[in-house]
Amino acid sequence: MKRVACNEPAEVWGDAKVRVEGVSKHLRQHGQPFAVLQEVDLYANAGEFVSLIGPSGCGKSTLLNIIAGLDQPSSGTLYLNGRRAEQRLGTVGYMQQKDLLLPWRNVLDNVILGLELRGMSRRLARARALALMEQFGLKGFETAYPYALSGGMRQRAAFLRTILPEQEVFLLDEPFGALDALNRAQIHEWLLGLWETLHKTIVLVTHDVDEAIFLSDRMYVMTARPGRVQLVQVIDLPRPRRLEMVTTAHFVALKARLLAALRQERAAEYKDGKR
Amino acid sequence: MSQYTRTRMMLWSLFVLMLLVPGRHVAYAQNAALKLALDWYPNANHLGLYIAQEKGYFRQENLDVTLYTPVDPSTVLQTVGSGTDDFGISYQPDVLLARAQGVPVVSVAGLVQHPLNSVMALKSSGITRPRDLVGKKVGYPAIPTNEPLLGTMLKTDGARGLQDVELVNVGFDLVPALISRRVDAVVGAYWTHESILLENQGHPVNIMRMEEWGVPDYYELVLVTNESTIKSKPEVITRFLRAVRRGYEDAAQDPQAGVDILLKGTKAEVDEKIERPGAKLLAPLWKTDKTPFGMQDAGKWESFTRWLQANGMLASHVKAADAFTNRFHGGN
Amino acid sequence: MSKPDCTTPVAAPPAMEPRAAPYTGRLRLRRLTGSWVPAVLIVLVLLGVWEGYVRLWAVPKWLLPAPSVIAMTLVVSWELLLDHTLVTLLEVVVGFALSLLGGVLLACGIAGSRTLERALYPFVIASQMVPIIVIAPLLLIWVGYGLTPKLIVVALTAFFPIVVNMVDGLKSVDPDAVNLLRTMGASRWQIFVKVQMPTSLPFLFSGLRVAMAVSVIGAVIGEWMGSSQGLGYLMIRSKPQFLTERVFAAIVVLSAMGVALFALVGVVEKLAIPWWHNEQRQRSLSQEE
Repeated sequence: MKRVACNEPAEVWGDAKVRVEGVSKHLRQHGQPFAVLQEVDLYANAGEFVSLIGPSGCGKSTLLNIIAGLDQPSSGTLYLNGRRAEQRLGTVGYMQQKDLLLPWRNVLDNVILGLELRGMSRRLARARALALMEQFGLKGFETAYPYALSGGMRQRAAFLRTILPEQEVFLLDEPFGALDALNRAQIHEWLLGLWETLHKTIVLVTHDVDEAIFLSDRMYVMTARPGRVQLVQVIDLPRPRRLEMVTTAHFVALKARLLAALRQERAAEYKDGKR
Repeated sequence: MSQYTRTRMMLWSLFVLMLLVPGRHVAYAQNAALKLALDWYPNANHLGLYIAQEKGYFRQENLDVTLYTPVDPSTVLQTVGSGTDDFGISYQPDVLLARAQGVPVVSVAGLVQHPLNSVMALKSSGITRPRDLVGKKVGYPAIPTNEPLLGTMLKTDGARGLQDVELVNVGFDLVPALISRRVDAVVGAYWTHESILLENQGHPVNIMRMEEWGVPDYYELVLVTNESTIKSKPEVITRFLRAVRRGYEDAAQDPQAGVDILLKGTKAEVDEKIERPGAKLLAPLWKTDKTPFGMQDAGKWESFTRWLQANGMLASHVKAADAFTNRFHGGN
Repeated sequence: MSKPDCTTPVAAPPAMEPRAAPYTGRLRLRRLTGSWVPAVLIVLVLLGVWEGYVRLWAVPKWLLPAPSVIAMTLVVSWELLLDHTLVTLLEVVVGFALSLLGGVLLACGIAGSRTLERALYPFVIASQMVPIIVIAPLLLIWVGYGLTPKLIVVALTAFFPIVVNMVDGLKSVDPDAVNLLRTMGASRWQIFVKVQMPTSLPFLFSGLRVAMAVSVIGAVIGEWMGSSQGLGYLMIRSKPQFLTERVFAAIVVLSAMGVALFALVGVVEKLAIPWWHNEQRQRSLSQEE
């Protein structure tokens, strides 16, 4: 259980918006306990874009669930916005893989859901949402129902819903998995543009290495189950990112390093007889 | 037991399908198979039939008789009229109403010579005569003939008529309605059955008999057959009635022995505590001034028909003489 | 739609075509011929056979009246039929409303609390095992004769499909949607009102359609047991008088009433949950493509 060290000075942790310290998660299956996460350390500073990649089943989604408050860790502590956070529900925005747009509400009423739950009047919430519809490419579809939207539009609507309550931290769990490569490239650019104006902290979980490198400032690579942080990689590509950077040598080198780490994990899995 | 049916499941489609079956053509053989539809579940009224069955009277006439209670007893005249059943037990008023609608049924024997239908009230209510019913609630099953019956009784006792009472349709649960005091009296209950039931439950009753209060005497139960049987198989009817007559004569002589047979024949489905006293009450009703048993009095038919017509219940074209016949009572 | 170009400044992404559901004329015709025409034809054929049978075999009126005779009775006795129809209609509608109210409340309780579910659900099921034919006379004794026992009979028969369907609906809520709301800090009540209730509506309407059908049957049974008005009463009153055509006329009116009420529930459903039908239509249209 050796941790690959990353060159991160400890004092940086104090300012972090999200701090995951030594979080472990055990479950019981057939009476036997088994570990999903093991002593995970992770942090994201204010305004940082952090990614989390790893093989399937390494507990990435579980970790996000724990940060969002849907689940509690078996051991370890979480800090949000600088404070120890036991009750975390509602503190961070969480966008899941499924857009989960409520079919009985039109697009506008769907995106204001977060604001509505916080007690804002519908009128006010709608006004606030309407101002952003164009930026999210949903202009003209305010009164449409989710079934009439394409996949990309639904994801953007879900994204709008996530950011409207204006929390400080957003968790994204493979939000673009259902989109094809072309749409995904477009949405990456759009997302980065948005993020640069919003100045929020984002933690993204994905299994697409290219996506992670393109979007983030730092990347955490996790091991297979039980998930641990295997590698922390700073992505020092210049901002604002451009699509053409994907073929630069620097990008490719980063990608090679990360893929090697992932492959090593996979080999170890095979050796341990997990596959 | 009330004169009319109680809770039942009316499966109309089944009923219609059943009637769509064309009338059975009975082979004119020496040994005739006959079906008789009872008016209700077997009870003391049917003693003579069960005796004839048990003691072999039917067999001696080369008749193979099936006694059964239809799922919906109110259909007896329809099944007899259409030929599905050869004989049936029904009520004199109903026979006349059926004939008014063209149902070809004819009464060939009177089984119960006087009305069993009566008005009953709990002794504790103090109601002893129809006049006492003024301003009270009277429960009845939803059978239309009860209305003029009650009306005549009231008028005979000096009241104005039906408008003086509140008629409440209690379905067929006359006894519970009376006991629970939801109604003050009931009409449509038999003084040979419901009264015993009530007494056994600890609720003695006052009984007001129809024929004592202005209603023309009529036959409560008659044996009916259809016109085509009369035309095509008259001697079968004669043989049948002969056996029935012997059965009822035995019943009149020893009702309790008859109840024993009834119990055996119905596999003890009947309530002995009601049928034994009931048989005792009925026995005198099986003895007529006219012998043999079952011969019908034309006067009873005429007067009752006129009474029904006067009360607007029967169309004027119906002739009493067509509704009954004594043709089959000849010989021993 | 322009080719994606990574040098374009960040702006709103190009609008993509939504999957709208256009109605073509061809589809409309197919929908029309597919809906009620075959049913009407079948009914007409059956009526023709019925009429022919009665006439050719000279079936007496008191045994099986011909459709023409029944039609005449409907016309001639329309006032009588109307009076009784209104009474039965009242029983059905009010009884149905009672069952709706009680059923929804019961369903919310059962779906919301495990304890309540374990305590109440067996009774809900047991209540249907006792035939209403047995209960109805007892009701008359306990409650009296009048409108109330009929309403109870109707409500007892109708509440069952409502409860069962609605409980299923409330429980069928997408757990991911519930989690989504939880991450947004929603309270249990908010989740119930904003997600569980809307999810259960299509299920509820399924139950309502069944409940409406059995309400009509329940009203008639209630009338058979003891009443002085209503189509059921008219039926049992006409039978001893051998007015079979009137019995059939009452049946025709009763059926028409039942069908109309059933359709009414369908109309209300389309108004209340338009998104459900649009979604279903969307799904079937995309399958046709």
